[in-house]
Amino acid sequence: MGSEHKALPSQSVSRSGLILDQIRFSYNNSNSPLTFNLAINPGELVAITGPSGVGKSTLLNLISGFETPLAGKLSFNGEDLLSLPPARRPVTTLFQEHNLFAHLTVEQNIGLGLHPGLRLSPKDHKEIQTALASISLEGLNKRFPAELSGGQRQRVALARCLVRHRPILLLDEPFSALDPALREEMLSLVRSLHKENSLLTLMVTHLPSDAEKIADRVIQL
Amino acid sequence: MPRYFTPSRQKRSFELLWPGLFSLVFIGTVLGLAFSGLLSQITDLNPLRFLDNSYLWRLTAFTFFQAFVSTALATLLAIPVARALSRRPKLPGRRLFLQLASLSLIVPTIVGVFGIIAVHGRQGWVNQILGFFNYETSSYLYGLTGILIAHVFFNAPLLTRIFLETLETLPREYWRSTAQLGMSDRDIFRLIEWPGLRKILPASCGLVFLLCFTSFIIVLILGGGPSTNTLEVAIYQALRFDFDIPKAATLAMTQLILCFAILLLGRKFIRRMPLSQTEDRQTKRFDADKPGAKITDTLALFLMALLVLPPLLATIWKAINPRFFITLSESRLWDAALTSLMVSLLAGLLSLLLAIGLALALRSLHLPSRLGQTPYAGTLSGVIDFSGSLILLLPPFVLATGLFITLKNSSGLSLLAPLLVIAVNALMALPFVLRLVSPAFEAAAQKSDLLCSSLDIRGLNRLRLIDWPQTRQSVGLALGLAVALSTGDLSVIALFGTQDFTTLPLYMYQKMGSYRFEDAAAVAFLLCLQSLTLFIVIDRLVARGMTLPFVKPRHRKPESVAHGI
Repeated sequence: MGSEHKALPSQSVSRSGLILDQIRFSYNNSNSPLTFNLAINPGELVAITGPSGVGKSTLLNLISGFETPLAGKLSFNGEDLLSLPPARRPVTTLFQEHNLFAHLTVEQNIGLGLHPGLRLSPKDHKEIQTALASISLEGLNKRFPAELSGGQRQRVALARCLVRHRPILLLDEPFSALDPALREEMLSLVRSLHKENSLLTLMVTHLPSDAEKIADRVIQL
Repeated sequence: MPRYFTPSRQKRSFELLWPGLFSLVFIGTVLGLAFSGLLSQITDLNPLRFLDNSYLWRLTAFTFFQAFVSTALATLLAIPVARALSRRPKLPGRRLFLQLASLSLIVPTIVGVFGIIAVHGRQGWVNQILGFFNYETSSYLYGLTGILIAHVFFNAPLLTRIFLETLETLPREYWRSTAQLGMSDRDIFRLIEWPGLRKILPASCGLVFLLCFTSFIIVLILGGGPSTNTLEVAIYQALRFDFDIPKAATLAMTQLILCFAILLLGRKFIRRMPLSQTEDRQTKRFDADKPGAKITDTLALFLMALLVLPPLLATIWKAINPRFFITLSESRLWDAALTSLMVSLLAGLLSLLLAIGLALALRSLHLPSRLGQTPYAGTLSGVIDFSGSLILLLPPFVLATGLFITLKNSSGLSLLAPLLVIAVNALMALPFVLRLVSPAFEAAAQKSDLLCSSLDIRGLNRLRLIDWPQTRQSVGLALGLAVALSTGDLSVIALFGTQDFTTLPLYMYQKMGSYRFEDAAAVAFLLCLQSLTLFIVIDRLVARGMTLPFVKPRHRKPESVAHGI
């Protein structure tokens, strides 16, 4: 009788949310691969902390498709993600820096999220305006990234993430370069955008205080 | 008075200026001699004469035309190849290609031309293949085609390298963003890569344009006729074959004025001449697997390989022939090799000394400890910087012509000839040497100037204890490059060479001129060997301070990134 109560193999469990199942990864085939197991519910805001070198950023890169795992399963709402190229995954990422292309204006940088060849309709332009308003940077359309402060740059990048309307938002040490007061402001902005757009948000940070301030759940790697 | 009361500020402001002034005087003397020679022979300075003279007009037009087309073709090939290499860091042969591309300055031009003739000449590989399939063989090489093939052969790899370095300075996040945003191949080029390349384009294309504008050996050997002649070669022919000194002087002045005009237009660009370091930074890109990218990349790499590889292989192939050892046993060959060695070493050293002088003067005008103290600093550093680059635009031929005219009546021309060749070769290498040495001294000063002035380390002590350890890397590379450039030079020596004073490139040119291609191939082999060996040995000896080359240094500073040429 015992065999009937055996735990079901994990692949037959169709769960909603983001699932990493025995994802294994190593840089240059070093002999100690990292293994990730993770389940995050839709609408959850999770912070990931841990010392450097433990694979925090790698985890995000695996989800967004910038790195390829050796083995394992990655799915979102039951759909396999590993077979998809980065552009077709339901993911949008905010890096620590260089989110914006330095030679393009604020408007163009956000516009790239709407059309990757910058062929924008009047409706798209309207959406860019709305996005700029939601991060309270109206009127800076024609500025270049170099003319913005570090905090403003990250907010523009956040606006581009929003206009892409992807259900998963990944934040890779997004505000580490900012001073504490500004960081706090940015964290609460992320928190409110997360709520309004009912995103699944995953934020990597090396600051435990930031993690606790913002997250529903903190995962220590 | 105790030592610490000595007001050393006044003294310090000039202490490292004198080597630079010395360099300036030397350059000025050589230029002055050359100009007085040129001007003495120009009987009619009326610029309208230029407009009337259809020969001069055609010559100038063709010189511009071939330089323009060569630059355009090289750029059009280099951009797709650089893109292909940028998104394929693991491509087999990538490293080798990049090393070859940086060697294109060190491998003597005449060797490259030899390889091109071996592939594209009347009896070359292409015609042999055509003949094998019973197609009509043709001689397409001599004339514009040959000039273009050779110019693209030399300059496309150089441009590729510069473009690739530019693409690799773009942050890693850019490629991740383009992948996540789903940008197409065309969009990535249009919106990301092209804006990046556009910044470097004027400087790098300007450099290539100048190299093609003043190229000598290629046009001399492959030009093929009066309709496809350039100013540079016409000067040589006027001097060497027609003995028409006024004509040569007029041509030289025309060349000089045109180059000066180019200089004024592109001074900003030349100053930022792209001669930079290589850093092995390979960023992962995500657009390599798109079908469009695969097709264009394959096409670009195939074209580049088709252009660059056969001449190189042909040179090696030709060198392996029954006459190889017979040629190598000729005593005139070894005389020429010895002459080359002496000339190149002396020219390299002279070039290095001039460059160090200029570099020291340049930086002593901008030392952090003397900030804002010298009102003339801007002007003077402008002059020094300008005189370093001037030679790049002033064709060695114009210089040599002027010197030749001035000194032709002096009794000891046979004695003077080696000195002239050394001096002009040194000046020709100067822009490259200065580009490498000057930033190194500048950086050393930025790092330790305030400390030095607080410890009162000055003069030779400072050079020996502070500057030398920080700059030897660049100095070694610069000296190696200067010696290699002089080894391969065949312009001044073509003018001043005699039976008793022949360098290896000239010897090889003579062999080619008498259609002894097997002999020439053996000389080419020795020439390459000498040039590369000198470059490597000097670089190792000076830069790493070792007696044995090819030994891995034990303590290398992590910040000392290997320079590329």
